[in-house]
Amino acid sequence: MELQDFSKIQSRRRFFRHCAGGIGTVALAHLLETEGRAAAPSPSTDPLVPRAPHFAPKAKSVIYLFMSGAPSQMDLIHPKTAARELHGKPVPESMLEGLDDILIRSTARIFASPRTFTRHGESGMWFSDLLPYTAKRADDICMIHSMHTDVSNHHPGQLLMNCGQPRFGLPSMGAWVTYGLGSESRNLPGFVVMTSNSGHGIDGGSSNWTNGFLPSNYRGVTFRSSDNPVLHLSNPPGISRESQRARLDALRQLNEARLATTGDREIAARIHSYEMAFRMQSAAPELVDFTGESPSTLASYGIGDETTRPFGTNCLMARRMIERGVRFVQLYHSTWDDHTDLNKNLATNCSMTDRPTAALLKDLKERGLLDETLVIWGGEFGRTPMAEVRRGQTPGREGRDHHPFAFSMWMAGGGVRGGHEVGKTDELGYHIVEDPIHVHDLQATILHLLGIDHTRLTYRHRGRDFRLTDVGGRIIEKAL
Amino acid sequence: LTVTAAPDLKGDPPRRAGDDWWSLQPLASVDPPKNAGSSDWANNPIDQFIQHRLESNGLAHSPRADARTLVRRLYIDLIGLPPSPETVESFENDSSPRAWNQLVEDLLASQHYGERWARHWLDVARFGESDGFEYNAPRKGLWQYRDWVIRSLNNDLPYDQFARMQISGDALKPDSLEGNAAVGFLVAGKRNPVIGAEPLMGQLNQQDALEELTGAISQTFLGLTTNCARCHDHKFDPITAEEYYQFVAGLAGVTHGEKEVLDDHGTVVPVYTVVSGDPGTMHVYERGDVASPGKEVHPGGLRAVRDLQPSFGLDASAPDGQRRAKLAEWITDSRNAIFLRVIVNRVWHYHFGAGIVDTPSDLGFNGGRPSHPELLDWLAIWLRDNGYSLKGLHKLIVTSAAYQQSSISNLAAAKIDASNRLLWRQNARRVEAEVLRDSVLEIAGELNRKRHGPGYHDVKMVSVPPANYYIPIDPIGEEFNRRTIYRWNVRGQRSALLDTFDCPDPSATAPRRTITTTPSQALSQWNHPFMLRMSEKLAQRVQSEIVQEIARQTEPVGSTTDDISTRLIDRAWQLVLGRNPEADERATSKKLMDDHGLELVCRVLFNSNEFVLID
Repeated sequence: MELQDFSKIQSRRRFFRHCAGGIGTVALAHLLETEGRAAAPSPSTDPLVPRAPHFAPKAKSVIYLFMSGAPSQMDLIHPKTAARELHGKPVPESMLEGLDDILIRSTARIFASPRTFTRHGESGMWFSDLLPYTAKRADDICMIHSMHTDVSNHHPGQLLMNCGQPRFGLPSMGAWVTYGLGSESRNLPGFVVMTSNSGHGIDGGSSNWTNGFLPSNYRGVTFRSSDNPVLHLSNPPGISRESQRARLDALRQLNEARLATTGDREIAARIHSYEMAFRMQSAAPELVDFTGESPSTLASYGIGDETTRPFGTNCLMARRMIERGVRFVQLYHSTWDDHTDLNKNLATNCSMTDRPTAALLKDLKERGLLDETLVIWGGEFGRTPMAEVRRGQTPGREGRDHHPFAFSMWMAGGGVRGGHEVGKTDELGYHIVEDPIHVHDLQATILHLLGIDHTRLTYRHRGRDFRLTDVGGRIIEKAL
Repeated sequence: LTVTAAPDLKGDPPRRAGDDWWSLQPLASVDPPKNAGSSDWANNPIDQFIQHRLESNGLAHSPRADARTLVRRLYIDLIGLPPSPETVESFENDSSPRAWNQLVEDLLASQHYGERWARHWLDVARFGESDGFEYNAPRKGLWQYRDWVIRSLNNDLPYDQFARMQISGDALKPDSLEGNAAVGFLVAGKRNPVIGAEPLMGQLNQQDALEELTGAISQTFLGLTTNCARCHDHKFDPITAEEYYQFVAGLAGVTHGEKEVLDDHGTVVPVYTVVSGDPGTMHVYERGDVASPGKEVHPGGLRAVRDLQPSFGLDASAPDGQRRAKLAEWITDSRNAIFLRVIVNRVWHYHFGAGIVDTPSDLGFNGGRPSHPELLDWLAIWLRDNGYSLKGLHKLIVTSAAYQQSSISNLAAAKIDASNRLLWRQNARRVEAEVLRDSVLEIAGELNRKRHGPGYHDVKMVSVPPANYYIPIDPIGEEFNRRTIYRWNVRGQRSALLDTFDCPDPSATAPRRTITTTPSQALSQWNHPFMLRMSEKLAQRVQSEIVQEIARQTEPVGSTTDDISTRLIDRAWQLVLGRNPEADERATSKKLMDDHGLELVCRVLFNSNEFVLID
């Protein structure tokens, strides 16, 4: 079409009529037709349609228990008996050599864990008395003691763990995974985030589940563990589902005409978001309806108990979402940032999370879902072997500071080796002495278990190909 | 297509920027190119630059958008509110360049212009009315800064003065409300009052605060991430750690505080502002470690900014105000090319949805490369030579033919330049959260136009000493129906409507907003009580207008209900979308109204793409 003709017909109404006949937007009209509710979803209309991985996956979905604020590994899962002898003494000079982190105070004194540790399972894995339930799942767990990260502040640390770089604007792991694999669920988002806390929010907030530069559809959608799991999910009183449908149909007609006129992808995304919202209106209440769950299941997650209910509900929701095809579920529990009152606060957080965590692993296993579901547990970094005494507080109220050089996380199911430990640290747990595993290595491994080659899951943005693992990432073979 | 980067990129791409980095070069005075093609398209030199790049890439510009689209685009761009149906109609009747110019003049003179563009500036200024961090204490009187920005933009305060005032207003106009409000910029960011017991922790906390401040000033006015040179020389841009501490030395006396000053009416008012402290002696801290002070440094700028003397000639005894006044002079020096490039690019970004450099606060190595480097420099020179007038710059941009292009896509052009970096069309943009809310209020006839003063509260503060939490509420009443810029902008949670439409949390600067489309957004737009209330108000407004219209009518009223239905529906469409429905749209609306009432037609219209997209 010549430019002059184009200007003649560009008044939007006339344009629409002309376009219906022939030029470029025909393609878009076609897209809309195939997007009909009865039609099979295709990648061009539904950004979350399932896609084939690079190779056969071990895991189909992920439940990531993100312990925001950084739990203290040496009081929970990484005992250091040598610390007892050095308790109250300065850190040996040798450990401080060449350190380049302004947050580590060299004056701090070693602090032996006030907790007691025992061995569990056939593997004899160590757990402290704060995690009696998780300890029972020892033989499902692959414990990694040699994690290290680049940053020692919460927000950058959380961003690095989730998005591969300690700065804003990059997609999170859940976004990358749903971008790469789509989602099996047509009625729920592919990437769902839920939060619980012991009185403090998550430092990084929604930047932890952002889509970054990936299309909006891959952003983590936050659910709440209440009767109204998504904000503004319910129709106003007195409006039936049918009349809601009628209204959405009217809106859809309007918007589709608009899409045909302008051919803008944002409009297609918006149409999709309303359709998903509508389907969520029926799927989400069903999701949070636990009446079909047996009393023993509910009890195991601690749903009836005030303390365990928030995280327990989220864990049970996570299992139910995985069953319904959600690809990536992330549960945040905050905060483990115990600069003071470590002993007391750890007991609080563990009492909220230990039982539900173990119940989730057991429940998944009993349903045959653990093999195809990768469960991850951990924070953004670890905590120091030394005590931290803030603002002159009394002994007994010690905490621990941030520690990026060595910390522990665990994975279970989804193709990882249960009852196995990876990595070793020095006698205090200050430095790694065997098998250092960087955050990018963990990310590469998670993608690997999902059948994705982390070097090939890329997105071109601002002139270069980005990936979750930046320029790093080695598969943790010893965990597989 | 590769949109060429810095003009001198040859051979292996560099791994970092040197002193020869494009954005640090003096402004290049380039004559607007003469183009071979349809030369009558160009309204002003902007178009000549645009057309040149289009032609050399085998692309053509798009035709002018239709009158309705244009008038809506201009209203939302310049004042953040939609035009009335009557304004649309009148422009449809005369959309000549003269009528367009008049519309531009009128909108730039409107009080709403300052309210609209102040919101953009406050995004960059990470303006938050609470401390953030664990305690998140509210700040009394920081809204004075928001009002100063609105007033300054409305008064078209020259941009170099606008910048100087925000860095050193309290020193330039001591004891004045104006001067103290303006430096609200310096104390608008997050602040951590939790200081460790050890003296080193106190120092560390101060250095953290100075890094935040340095980042804010440097990224806002210079498009450089100077803050990245705290622990080592900048890894990508030519900024040394020594220069970082020199820059920091200029700001070391800034502390947060409240003052009481007299306003224009002689009333004592509180203002959250800078209280000058002792800047002390600044050192280069090795690896950023406050326990390892190295060489002593004095206030100064960056060597990378050519043609300017990096040293301010001040020694360790120079007081805070003098240091900042010098820093402000250095930044706003008319020879400082990057200072000018950054602001013209920022303004361009908001008019086109993408900057000539698509990272408005980073013109360094990690930022984007300019799509039109010559145009960027031409605009920078234009601003400098035209009294730093931002209103003048807006006018220049929106009267260009490039700005007035249709945003309709075309597959052939999209194949060559899918991201539209060369501007073969205008970008179709989604409105921001604030524009959405303000427009809904305006269309429903509920907008409270009250200007300035303390903000309305749509969060409830819960204090659990020493911490404070803010819980979103949905308050009802006229005082809450003010423009969203007058919202009490504390850090933390926001209403789901603002949140799902990507209103940024002021914890960090937002030079470019994220734009997401999610089911949660659809749900809050569809079901949020505010949206339901406003749909109801709009239905009432439409009904009462049609009733009055019928009452005024002298000829007999069409007795059929159809006639009245049509009038109601058409009026709702006119108010929300600025046009009449087409026959099929009218039929759909009518069915909806018959089954569920006019209120639902209004709600559907408020949820339509046409309403939330600028074009």
